[in-house]
Amino acid sequence: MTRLSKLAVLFCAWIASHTLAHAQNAASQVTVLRAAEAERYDPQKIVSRPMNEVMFLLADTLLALDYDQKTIKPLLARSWSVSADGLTYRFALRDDVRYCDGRPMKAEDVVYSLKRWIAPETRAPLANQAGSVKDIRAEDETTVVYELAEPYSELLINLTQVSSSIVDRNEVEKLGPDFGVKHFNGTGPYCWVRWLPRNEMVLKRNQAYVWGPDFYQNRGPAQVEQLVLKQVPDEGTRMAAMMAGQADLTQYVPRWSISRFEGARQFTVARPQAYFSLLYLGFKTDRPLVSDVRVRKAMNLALNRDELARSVFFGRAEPASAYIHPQATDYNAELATILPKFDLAQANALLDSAGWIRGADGFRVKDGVRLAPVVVIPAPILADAAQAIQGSLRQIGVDVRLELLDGAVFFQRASQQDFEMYGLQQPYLTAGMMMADNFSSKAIPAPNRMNWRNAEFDALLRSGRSATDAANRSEAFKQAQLIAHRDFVWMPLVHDQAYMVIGSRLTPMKAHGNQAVTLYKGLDMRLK
Amino acid sequence: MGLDEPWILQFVHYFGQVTSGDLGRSIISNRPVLDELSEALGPTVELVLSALSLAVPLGITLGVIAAIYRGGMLDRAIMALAVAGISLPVFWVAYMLILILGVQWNLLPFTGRLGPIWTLEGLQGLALPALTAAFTLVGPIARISRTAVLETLYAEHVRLARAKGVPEHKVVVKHGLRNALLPIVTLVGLQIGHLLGGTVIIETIYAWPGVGRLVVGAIMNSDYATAQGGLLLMACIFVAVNLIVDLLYSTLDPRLS
Repeated sequence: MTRLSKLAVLFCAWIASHTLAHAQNAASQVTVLRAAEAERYDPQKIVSRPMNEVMFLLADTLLALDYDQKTIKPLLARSWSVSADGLTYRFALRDDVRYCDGRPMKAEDVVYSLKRWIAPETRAPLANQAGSVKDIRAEDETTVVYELAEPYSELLINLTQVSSSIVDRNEVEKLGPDFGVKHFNGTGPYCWVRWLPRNEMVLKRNQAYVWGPDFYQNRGPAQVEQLVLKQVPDEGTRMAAMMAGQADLTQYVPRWSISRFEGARQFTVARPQAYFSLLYLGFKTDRPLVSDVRVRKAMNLALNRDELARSVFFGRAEPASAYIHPQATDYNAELATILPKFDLAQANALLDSAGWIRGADGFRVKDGVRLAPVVVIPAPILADAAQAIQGSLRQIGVDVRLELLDGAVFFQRASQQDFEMYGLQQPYLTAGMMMADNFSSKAIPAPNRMNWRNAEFDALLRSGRSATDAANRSEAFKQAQLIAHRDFVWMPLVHDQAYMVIGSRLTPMKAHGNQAVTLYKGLDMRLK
Repeated sequence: MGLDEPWILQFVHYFGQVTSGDLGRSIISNRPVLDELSEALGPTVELVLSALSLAVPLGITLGVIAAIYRGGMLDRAIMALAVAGISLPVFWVAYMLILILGVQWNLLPFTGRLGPIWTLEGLQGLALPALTAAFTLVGPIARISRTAVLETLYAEHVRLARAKGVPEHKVVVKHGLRNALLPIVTLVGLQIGHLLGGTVIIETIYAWPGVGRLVVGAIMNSDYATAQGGLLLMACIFVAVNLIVDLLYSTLDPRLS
């Protein structure tokens, strides 16, 4: 055999072995496409959708959230009880939970994780969602007592969220700043294999996992052996990869393409039963141009939300008649009557009555000042909508000055005070959470960028948060919603919708809406 | 961090750190910038070298053929291709290659780096990004090769070689191409520098985890340490490549030594 033919044989053998190995991997592996990734995977320190996508798979919380975004289900906690005064929560943990490294999870691990969440040195962005904690302690190996200084009606739903994920103390201490970068040892349905930043994250099935929430048909272990979460920043490439069968699942396709995926035989498109995320414009209520509630109401009247949802969002978003989605917990049905329907005549009349008179160029002026609000917009989310709104408001003589900014620059600009309006997207779980996070005077200057204060609203919020029964909580939050809506502090645009595109190798499954992570625990994901 | 110090002092401190191999930590990932750069450099070097290994031989060959058949149909066709390579936007070329080779023919993957270059998956994943980068390089290399070879083919020493009866292929390669290499090497050197820092569009479309995406991401997130480190690395590579090109001159043309 000549040297050349030996080389050819070796080359063929190399290709054959790699092809075989690749085919074996592909048969048991699912590729999920993502638009972005988190800077690191530390559930207490990082808040972002890419973070949530991975952490719901790698780690568990005490409680789980059902598809309806309302019902709380057992997860690591088998059951729980709340004292009559709403101050003490007692969680009975499962005794069969193991970390990916095989170590059993004990009550001490839960205590450590929850205390890490609220510790000042952690600087957890969502530590306030833990309530006013007096103490968290382990009563025995499977019982955790969570004691509050004052009742907090939204604690249980917050314990379904990523910030309250249970981490491994040993690993946090061993890895230090590399925790969640080089490895993460959790109790979730999947285990960390490797993370190559800006490229892919590989997870393998946690074989011991049998404690999945009961709203899944399969409670564990996961039915897919290996998950590859690929970061593909370009949406065109993501679409092409799905079409070519190079990926199995994604929720990051452009809105205009969803009908094409729905029409193609090889894809299933799943939409969560409930998902709450509002796109809106906020008014800086202490700026002279928009301090008059009549001006804010007029702008709300001038916006045709049905048209906006149809043309800009390709019918893949729901026109928002309130800040809260009707399906959300504690939504006040009266809100639908407050926000006026599209009515240019009424909008013009309101601005006239507020003293804003049309000039020769069609724009309104009062005391020599032009009605030209500066609106700062995060371009990746709202660029198209903002331009449509600019056109709508021009019809009533408002000269909107748009500042379209990149996502990273936006928040720096939004922290300043020299603009009249800003645009943003706000995901939430309950009406109370939406109100407390965004409208409370304690939330000034951010997230309450409107600088809006209302003592009655704050009192109702306190009352709702500290209510010990659902009826009182609901009533207080409903009244608070009315106040915030009657002041037209926001201009709600649309309720966003999430979609999960499922490729032909997977069986159809339900999409979840928890923080728009449609895969959530991924337990019903199965290869055909 | 010493941000309250005069900028000159800050620069001196930074320079001191850099000389000891410390580029600081990323404020986003909290990882050493050196680690982030070293992870991203490998994929970028893979991409650049693969693109060059395709583009340089192809570009020179096309340029020489165009020079030999100057004014003919082949020359015009090659130059039209070269102009297309220079003028077509790189993102359009990338999408076309994805649509044709990736989606319609389903020949090659295009969702990022699938493994090290010595594995089959790695090579498959590299093929389309490298082809795209090579497409943008072939045009300029072919054009400069044609011009340079044309100049030498009509030089007196080449006429002498022909007069002495040296076969035409030897005349072209040994007397024409060899003497035309200087401008070609200069251009390739400059292209390497541009490619190392300028493949961000290719890296974004193909989800390639290289230096371009790292630095652009750092700039977007105001991660100054990573952005500074990345730019410093690119500048060093640019200078190093140009130095190598300058040193090559004396090897290619002994009269310059």
